[in-house]
Amino acid sequence: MRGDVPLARKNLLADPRRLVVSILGVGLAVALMLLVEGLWQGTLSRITEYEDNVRAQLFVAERGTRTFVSDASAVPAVTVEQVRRAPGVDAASPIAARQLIVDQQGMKIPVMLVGAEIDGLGGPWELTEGRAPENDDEVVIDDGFAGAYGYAVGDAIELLGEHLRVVGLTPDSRAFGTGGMVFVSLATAARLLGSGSPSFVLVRTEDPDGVATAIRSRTGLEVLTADRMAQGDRALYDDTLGSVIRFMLAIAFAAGTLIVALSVYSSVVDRLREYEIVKALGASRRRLFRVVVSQTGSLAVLGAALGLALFVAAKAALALWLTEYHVELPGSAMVASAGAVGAMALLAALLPARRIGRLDPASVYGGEQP
Amino acid sequence: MDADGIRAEGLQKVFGEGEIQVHAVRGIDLAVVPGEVVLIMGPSGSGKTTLLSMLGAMLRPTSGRIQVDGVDLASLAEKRLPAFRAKRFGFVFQDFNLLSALSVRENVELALNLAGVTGRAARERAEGLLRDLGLGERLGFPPHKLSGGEKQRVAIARALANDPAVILADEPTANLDSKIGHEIARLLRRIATEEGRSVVIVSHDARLKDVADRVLWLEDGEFRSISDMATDPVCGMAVERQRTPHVVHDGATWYSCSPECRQEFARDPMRFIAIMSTA
Amino acid sequence: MSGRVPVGRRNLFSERRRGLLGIAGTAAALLLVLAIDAIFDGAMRQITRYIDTQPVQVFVAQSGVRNLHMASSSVPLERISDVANVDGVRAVDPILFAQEGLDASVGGRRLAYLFGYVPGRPGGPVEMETGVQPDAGEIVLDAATADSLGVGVADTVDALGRPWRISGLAENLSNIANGIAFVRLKDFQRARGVSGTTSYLLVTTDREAGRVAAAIERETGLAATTREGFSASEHELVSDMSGEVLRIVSGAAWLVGFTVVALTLYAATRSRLRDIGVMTALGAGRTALWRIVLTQAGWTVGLAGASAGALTFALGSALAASSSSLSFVLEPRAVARTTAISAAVAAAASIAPLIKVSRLDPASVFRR
Repeated sequence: MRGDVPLARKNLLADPRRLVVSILGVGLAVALMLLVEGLWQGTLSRITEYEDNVRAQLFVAERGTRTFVSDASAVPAVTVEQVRRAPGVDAASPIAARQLIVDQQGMKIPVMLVGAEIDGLGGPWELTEGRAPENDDEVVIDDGFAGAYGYAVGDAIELLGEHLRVVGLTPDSRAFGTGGMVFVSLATAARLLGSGSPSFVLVRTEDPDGVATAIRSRTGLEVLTADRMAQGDRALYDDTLGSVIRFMLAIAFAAGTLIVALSVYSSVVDRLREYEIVKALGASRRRLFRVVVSQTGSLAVLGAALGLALFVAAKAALALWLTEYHVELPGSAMVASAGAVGAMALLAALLPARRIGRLDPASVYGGEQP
Repeated sequence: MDADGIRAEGLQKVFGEGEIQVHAVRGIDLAVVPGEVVLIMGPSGSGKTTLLSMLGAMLRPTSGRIQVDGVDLASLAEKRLPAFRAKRFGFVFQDFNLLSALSVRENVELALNLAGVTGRAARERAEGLLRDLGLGERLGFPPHKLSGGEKQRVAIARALANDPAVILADEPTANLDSKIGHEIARLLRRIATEEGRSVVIVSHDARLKDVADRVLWLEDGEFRSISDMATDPVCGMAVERQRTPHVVHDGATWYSCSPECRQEFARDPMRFIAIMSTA
Repeated sequence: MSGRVPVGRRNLFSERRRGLLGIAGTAAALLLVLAIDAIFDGAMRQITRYIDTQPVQVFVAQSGVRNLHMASSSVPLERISDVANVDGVRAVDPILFAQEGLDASVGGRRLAYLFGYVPGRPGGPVEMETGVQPDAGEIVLDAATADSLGVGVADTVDALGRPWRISGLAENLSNIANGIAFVRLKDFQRARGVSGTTSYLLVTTDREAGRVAAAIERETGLAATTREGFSASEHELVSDMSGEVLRIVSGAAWLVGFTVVALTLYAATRSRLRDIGVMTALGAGRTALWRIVLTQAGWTVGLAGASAGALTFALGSALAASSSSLSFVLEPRAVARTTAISAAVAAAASIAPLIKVSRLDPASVFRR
């Protein structure tokens, strides 16, 4: 109400030290939530880099394949010809794709190895330096990985016992401790993996649905659009790590709420006598509740603002020092966080509001402290 | 307990420097022997609180000497003062100052803990003191459930817990009604005479004159010669005869604290005289 | 304690709801820290369960490969005799290994580590819960995988592009990301169309494992790792990948916890300042005052820690009972570390209130 004595604001500001500590606590809790969510979203966005960028609409795979990063698909060598002959196919190329572990400076780093035909589909789509592999002893690696472990174009790197020469770097696509993508020729991949069967056949076409059906009937294999593949990868992560992430978010939320509740509750209790008097003077229950919610709301908002600032700082720090962790916070996540902060404020108001609600205005005449 | 009680010589307390200097207490001499009750009265700002703080080893005087039980307070290092206070002094406050988080018994026990007595010994002594003061049924109660008089009795039990040589009471009856106030006053008297302690009371309450051996008037940081003190019949305040408005009625002179009280008395003197004589 | 009136504890709980809020807030932060550790340790333990339970001493893989998860190894079958000829090697058993999707018509899909082994030889399920080892066309799942797919013995699942009949269920070997399943080596080879290669060779020996592994590497050029070393390598993989970020999240959680404790102590001390002032008037020295503040800190953090620990343990038990693949394991090391840091946090959060009460002027008790 305009012109009313701003009881909530005065109560909040009456004890500046408590206010600062509370804002700090809420800020940290919110920053924690944003960080966890940001790491998660960042990971999810990076794990589908291949499907999102490769210029092919369809993946022909072993029956039962659902993901690109995890499934070890293998299709018969003849599949490539079968697919090329299907109507509507503009181009088709085999790729070999497998996760493997590279040892670097005593650390184990998983990378995604992709072997593609030179001049075929499925090789690196963008290079920050150098060129794609043209020979069977060449490799293109992630430039984030290269930077972290000191590789440059022209250096040699060891993979599965073989030494290959780095001829190009792709943009950083690392996520959650992985080393990004490693591109070699198809023949190199076959050598390294000890298997001549391709993992997938990539297809470029203007009619994905029609062509997919045709390929399926000819080969009996699984045909997935790049989108479906990406969905599969995200679903995989969600099913496994997702529950852990959600659990951590829930606890951080609980911590933030409890901090707001604690702060406002203790300030209410310190001033119980005053609230009694205000009640005796005729303040309605609703008015008092509004006073409490103003306090919790202000505290939550101030804390959230600090949390956002801390998050931005953390994101920048990670980008400098721990580049293998990609943090992203899409708009939808921000909106959800804002909603969470609002919920925090309302929940936190419950206990203090009840306390005030129970006050008996008649005890104003007692002369004693409640 | 030693024969000395509490003795102060040439006490001075100056706050601030230069132009804003304040002489809260100037050249006070005071001796209260065991078994004696001394009442210190005076207007607000007269230095009573400062004097009490110094006597209670809570504030160092600017100059002068204080001896308690033969021990010169100045000879004690700052960090020894708390323990000294715990053992030699008992405090009674206007607001009772009981710890609301503790029960009645725990409030008294706490004082014993501070003097180094713990466990069953502390508990039993606390219970004993409380029973002696008629609070046996209230041992486990939280302070807010007690009446004013009961609270003050708990405070007195706490003050007596460590068998102190000196009791310092700051407006002990201010928040109590007439009857209870009298009880507390008589209690303080008993503590002095029957238990041989030095009791120093600071108060506006003229009722306490009845239990005091001596009444001292503190004004502007100094003891003034106590010409006779009188009691305002309307509000009961203690007033100095020489400086206050007065009314003569029926051959007797009645002194008032202020023109307002004098006017009120003048309107119906018989009523107030009657009240005075029954008090 | 020791027979003294517990002023610190009384102060903390005098306003019961506030005390509880403080404890709950701290417990939330501690729960987060413990949960992160528990999930990490749980994942670690599960990830190496297969390896740790195999009755062999050395794992042999393609050169440069020392992991099972997220790794790729291919060893031509003719190398078996090379390995068998190494001095000290008593037996060599090949296993095929791949990460595969298991499809059950009823329960959906689950990713699993699929092992092809020779029944009766090392490489398969060490302990069966029900049923028998797989015959031709049959598959063994571990209990958690079967549970998540909603299948049991005699049901069918699809893998490697064909259906398999479930012949038995093995003890729980799953981890958070993958289930586990076993088929006959020959079936695997046929389904995959790989006949000349295998993934890993499991070596049995009576001699000292380290020496034999070194000899195998020297003489064959393949990667040979002792079972313990292989297990450690898996641990390393997980911690190298996720260690940093988990530490960061943990660190943030600790900061949150610290702030809550500081706030609780601050509120509790401040609301009792007058009482503490009375105590100084009555003769409480610095030690007594500090004891009050530290007791409050100790109780807050202690109760919060106990609650968080109990909750983590309860969650872990519930998860284990439900044969979910998410597993919480409270290692003593993690508990000890959390306890130590909690104590430090409690002490640090006490500093400001300690200073405040130290500065209290006993004479303030007389002021009205």
